Amino acid sequence: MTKMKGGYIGKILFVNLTDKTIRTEPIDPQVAEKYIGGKGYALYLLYYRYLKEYMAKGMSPKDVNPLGPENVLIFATGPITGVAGVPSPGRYHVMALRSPLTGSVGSANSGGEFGPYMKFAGYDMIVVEGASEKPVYLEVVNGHAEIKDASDIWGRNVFDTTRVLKNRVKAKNVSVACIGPAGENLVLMANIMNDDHRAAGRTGLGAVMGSKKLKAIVVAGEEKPQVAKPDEFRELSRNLIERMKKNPVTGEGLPTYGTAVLVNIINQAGMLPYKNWQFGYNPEADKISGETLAKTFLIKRRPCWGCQIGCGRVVKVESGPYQILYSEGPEYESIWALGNTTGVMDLAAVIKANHLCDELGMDPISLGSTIACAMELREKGYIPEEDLQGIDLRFGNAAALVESIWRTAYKSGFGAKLALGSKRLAEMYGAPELSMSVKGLEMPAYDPRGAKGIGLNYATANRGGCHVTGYTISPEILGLPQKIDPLTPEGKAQWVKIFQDLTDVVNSAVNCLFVTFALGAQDYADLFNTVAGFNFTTDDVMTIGERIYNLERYIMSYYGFSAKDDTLPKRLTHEPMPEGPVKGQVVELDKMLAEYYKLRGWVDGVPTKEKLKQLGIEP
Amino acid sequence: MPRVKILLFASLRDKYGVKEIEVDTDGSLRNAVENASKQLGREFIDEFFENSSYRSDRLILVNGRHIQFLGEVQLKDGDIIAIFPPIAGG
Repeated sequence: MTKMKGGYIGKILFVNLTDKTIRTEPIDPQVAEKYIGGKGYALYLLYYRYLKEYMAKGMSPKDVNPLGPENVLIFATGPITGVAGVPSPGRYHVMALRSPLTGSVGSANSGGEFGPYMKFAGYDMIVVEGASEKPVYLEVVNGHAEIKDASDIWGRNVFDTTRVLKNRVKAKNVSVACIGPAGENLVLMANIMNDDHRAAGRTGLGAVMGSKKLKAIVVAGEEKPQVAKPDEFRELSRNLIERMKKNPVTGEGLPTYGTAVLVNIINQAGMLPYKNWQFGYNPEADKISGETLAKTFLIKRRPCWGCQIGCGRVVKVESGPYQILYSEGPEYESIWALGNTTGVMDLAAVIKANHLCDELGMDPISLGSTIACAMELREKGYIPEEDLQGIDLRFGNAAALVESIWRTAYKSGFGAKLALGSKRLAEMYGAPELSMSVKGLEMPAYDPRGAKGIGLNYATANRGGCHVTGYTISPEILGLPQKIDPLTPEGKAQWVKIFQDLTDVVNSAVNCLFVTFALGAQDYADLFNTVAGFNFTTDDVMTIGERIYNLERYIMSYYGFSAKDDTLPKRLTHEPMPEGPVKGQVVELDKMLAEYYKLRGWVDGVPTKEKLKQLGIEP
Repeated sequence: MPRVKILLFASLRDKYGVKEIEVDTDGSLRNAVENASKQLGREFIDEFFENSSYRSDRLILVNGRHIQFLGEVQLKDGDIIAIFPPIAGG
């Protein structure tokens, strides 16, 4: 097999935790040509190496247990990850054959150092199969991989685990990705944390890792990826970084205020979900805004590896009941989920709650939303008081919010119910309509009654109610790349499709989505060509994105997902926004869906045989 | 004369030193901004306008609606104008 020309290290590590075997394989250039790396390449492996094999052996895909040994977890980088001079090259992507929270494909993306350092350790991807009987961790140092006993760190929090395992490695560029107690306890919104405060947050991948009794992966090494066309790349890099610096978002807005700067604009537009999406405007939203964060608790920025933007926040709450002398974040969606939707407007409490999510290893978006759902259930009389065990879970109660975080991680008291996520929680208490989720994944921070495109995206995002999958907030509210009317459903399907396809290119590169506020598909083609020696046009790149999106949807169809699952909660399609700037609005989802499926070439929410053939996806 | 509020966000707060300012207007946005500029300085007008159109790199909302999609704006008593520099997140 021919070697890759640049960018890739060229090797995939396969680790089987059941029989404790380790093997490596080269990156296949033919697969890379079609799927690049990261999410795309991982999806290829998940379908052709695992799901198809399981089916050949007589297993029904619907019987793939997300917490069983048959699930597969893939930590994936792409050709431009860890290449100095690439815009924001620090991200990596994690895929699972199946998510325990949604039952769909599991997918999450994270920053920090883990992605680049995994490549320096000698591998583009690490594939984890099977399950160990006893707690273990994986150490990959300078190309050498070993499964080690983790019984002395099982039970420890994310920060302890990271520190202990880093100290055991005598090598350069050490990074740890691990689960906290939440993942060990199979909390359905448990995440995978890396470099202390970065998170592969959504779809419960921490629980998948916990079910395999894999506590952590430690990587370290000094192998640097090569560049296929160094002179051309140098010139391109100079040009792209200059554009990023000049761009007011990547060059000024994000570095200065971080993502929390969105609180006020989304609120002013009347679509900041308040009290479990009952309202869209909160007169007190400024108390938890990026502007307020910058003036009160922000100490400095922290960029991911090699990143020129540096949107990461470092914070300190000096005193008071929510004191924490060092933490990172919170991001916009975390502030919204732990704050606005729960009605908690105490920024220190939100920071503390976010910190605990990092420490214990849980997705603050899903957890905050689940707590808000519980607050509404309780307010409307669905939850018997004895279930709460004395915790006064009501909108605005900061103490109850912070207490609920650890209770959920340890499934203690009412926490055991919160640990199920809002969909199962609301179903259990007889009011499923109060879970503000799609496919079981809680939607973040943007009420689509104020921006119809994001509503279509929430309904059709493969991993569930996810905003980044097709972030049409960018044109609809932020005016990037151009301003489009948020309140019309017309023409939104095309925007959603383009954004979804490009995002999957970014997830396969692997790159940071924030780069796309300044750069576009042509720039990614140029990066792939100069770094990895490909010959892609802009159209090639967008076709690859479309291919990846369709392959993921095709896998989902095996699990039984179809148009019936491309929905929104009734609150958004049938309850007009009660007040504020978008009073009276609902989401005209059916209209947008019809146009979307036509553009996608799908019938009943599933790619047709013709579409798969056109994209070169072998059935 | 209608009295309206102009809200400033992100770097505009630091630049002009205020979160909000209340002004009279003859009903037009331009008049409201001109009146605000008497307190905040003439350059405040340039935050909203370049030549005679709205600045393309500003997000200007009137009662939460983007100005581009509102047609002729006739401000009423109590209306809220919000202005943002280029910002983003995710």
